[in-house]
Amino acid sequence: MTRTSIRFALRRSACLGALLWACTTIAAADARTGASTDGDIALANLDGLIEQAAGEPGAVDLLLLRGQFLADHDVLDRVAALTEPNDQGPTSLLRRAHARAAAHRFYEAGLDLDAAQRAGASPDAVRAQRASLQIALGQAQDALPALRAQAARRPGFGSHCALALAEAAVGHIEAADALYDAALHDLDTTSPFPAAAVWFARGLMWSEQAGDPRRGAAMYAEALRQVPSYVPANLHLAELEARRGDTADAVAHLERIVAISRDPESLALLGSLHRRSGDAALGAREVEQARVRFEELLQRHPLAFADHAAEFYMDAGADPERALHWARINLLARETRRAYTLAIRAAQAAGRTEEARDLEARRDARFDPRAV
Amino acid sequence: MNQFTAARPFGAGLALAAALLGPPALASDHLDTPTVLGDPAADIGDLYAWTSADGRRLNLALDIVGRRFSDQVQYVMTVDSGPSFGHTTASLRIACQFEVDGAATCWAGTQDRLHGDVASPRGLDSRKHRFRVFAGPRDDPYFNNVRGTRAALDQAGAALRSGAATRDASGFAHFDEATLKAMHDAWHQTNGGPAANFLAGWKTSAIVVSIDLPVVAAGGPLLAVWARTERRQPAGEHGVQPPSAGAPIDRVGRPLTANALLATVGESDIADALKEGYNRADPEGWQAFATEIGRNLALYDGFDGVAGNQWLAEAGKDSPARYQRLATLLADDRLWIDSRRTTCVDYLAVERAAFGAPNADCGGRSPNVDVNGVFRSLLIRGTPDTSDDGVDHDDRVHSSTDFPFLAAP
Repeated sequence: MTRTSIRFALRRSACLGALLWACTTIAAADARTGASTDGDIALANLDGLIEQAAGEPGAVDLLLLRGQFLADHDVLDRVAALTEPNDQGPTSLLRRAHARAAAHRFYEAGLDLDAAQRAGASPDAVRAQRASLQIALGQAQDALPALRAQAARRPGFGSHCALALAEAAVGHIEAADALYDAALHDLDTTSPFPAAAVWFARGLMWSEQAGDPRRGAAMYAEALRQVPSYVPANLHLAELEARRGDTADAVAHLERIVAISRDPESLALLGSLHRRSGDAALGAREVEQARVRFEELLQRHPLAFADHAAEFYMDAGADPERALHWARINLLARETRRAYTLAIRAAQAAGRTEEARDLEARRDARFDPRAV
Repeated sequence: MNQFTAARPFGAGLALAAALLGPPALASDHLDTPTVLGDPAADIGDLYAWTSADGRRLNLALDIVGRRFSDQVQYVMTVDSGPSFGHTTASLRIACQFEVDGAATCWAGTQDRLHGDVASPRGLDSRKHRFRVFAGPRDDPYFNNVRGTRAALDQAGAALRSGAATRDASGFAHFDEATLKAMHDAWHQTNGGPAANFLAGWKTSAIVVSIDLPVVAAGGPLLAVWARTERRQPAGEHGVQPPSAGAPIDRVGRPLTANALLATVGESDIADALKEGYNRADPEGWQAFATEIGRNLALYDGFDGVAGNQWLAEAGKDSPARYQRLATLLADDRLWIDSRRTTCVDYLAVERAAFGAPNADCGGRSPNVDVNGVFRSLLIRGTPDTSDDGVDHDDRVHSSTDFPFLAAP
């Protein structure tokens, strides 16, 4: 696996975990996918709902949806403000579990799920969130039996999509792809968000897990056809374009998203491309802006950005010691194969060869090499 | 990028409704099903229909939860017409489609059409000047103490589940005095304070139409209006011919039919399934929901502790048939308007007149009328005169005479 593909793979896990949670909460429908509302209209309407919901706890999911599509990381602050008060009702606990998982506070999210279960939350709702946590923590194998049973019992968009994510996470690429296809076929909504997210997840799987960037790029493009301002899809497509030397296309995608989002990862890649194409001053400014933004986010949500910060400091941020610091923190939060791999790379970059060897041994003893 | 939030696209609307409204049962038609929660541009909030003061036009307003109209949804208001209440013989579909830039194309059947910018408050006249359309942001005219109503219904549901309240053979729910008092108190409050309009300040997008009565009244002077959002279909002959009906997404006639009378205190999964079916039903299938509506009418009849005093209830019947007459009427979910009348301030006036009430009103629904008060009061005590939720007007004043009628946001 190349360094870039490892980086891609590292970034992939939580995407899928979140999508899994989402899949299992959508109402199943049995009609066929049709045309969906223009993505920019849908985003405007999402913002309208957020404004309408104002300080209501129900705004949490809307805010996280905004965060997901626009890489608006500031929503994590608003979500925390809405969910951290100590309400022990099952709905509040489930919502807080979701919010904490979104901030990579997986341990606390798990405790909330336990409490929600004790408080009488719907077993299906708890199971759905538990599965997303398992995937985020690299335990997709444990989630598979229940997800397969659910897909058999209630076939439909939600169950197919959830199972696809888990199958993909354990390396069953073809099976996952067929399930994604089935999920899209089951979908019946004029909202562009579900289909866009599924195309994005498929794109991640093919380009970053199955080693087929061409196929992945086509799927990112499909996600962008649904929601042109989808920041992560633009970013991932730009990364593929940059890898194959289409710098102009990559820059175009990135410029589109840095205009609407303060996502430091996009800014960092844009800076790197500008440096590479000879505009060193502009590139340096953008990388510095990305660094400032990362530090700002790390102050408020360290676990949520630990892995991305490690990536940044190993690459454009050029600070291997800081990369290793955040990679270690990320590994403490979730001992996944990816987290180990990131820490190994960071240790190597920092010249800590003994630590890297030790981490490698621990990783290889614990995980199947095909696990993601 | 925060990867955990990077792919959580669905269920947001569900959560919104659950959090804002409890089980989403208490707004007019807003936020009624998982399907429409997913796309606010397809989610109908309300439908208004009334005759103009000069007796020449029918005014219509259809508003949605979204701030912008979808380019893949068509918005259809159907005006059926006939000689008398309950009998319609002609039908006109007024359909609008929108482009991404907001430009609209609207058709009044095959009789007239328009295309262009409809966002100006003056609206846009059709080619033959038979109708005018405005579409754009407006204040949501609906008002309702959603939280108080939810609290009262939660009391009712809890009493039924615990066995403190029981249903008799008709379905009538017998609540004890303590529960009735708790429901009454809860209904007149919001979070323990004075009753408040949950939708105060809400913004909506509205399609407002003013159309010549002869265009819509081909079958006779009694008009029955309903609306739905449908998947967009191609228009014929390069836009000259109106689009055919698309797959239905949301449907509304009178306010509160689906949201208040399907699984009123039931599990949300069941309520969702019923409402999805309700929204997608074609007219020939509407009466299939009468039984469920009747079951919940029986619940409402119990809210004052007096059995059989609901409007149109047949108190002598000790079976669900007691509520069948009103259930059948409401399952035919259309706003009825007597187009010969020019005063429109009495909600359900045509329906009530059909059962003997004196009437000089067009009925229908004009923007400032307290439809909740009339509706619930008829269901609880058989008279249209009490606002049970303590909110009897919107925070904004809307017009029934000056196009585009609904207040600017």
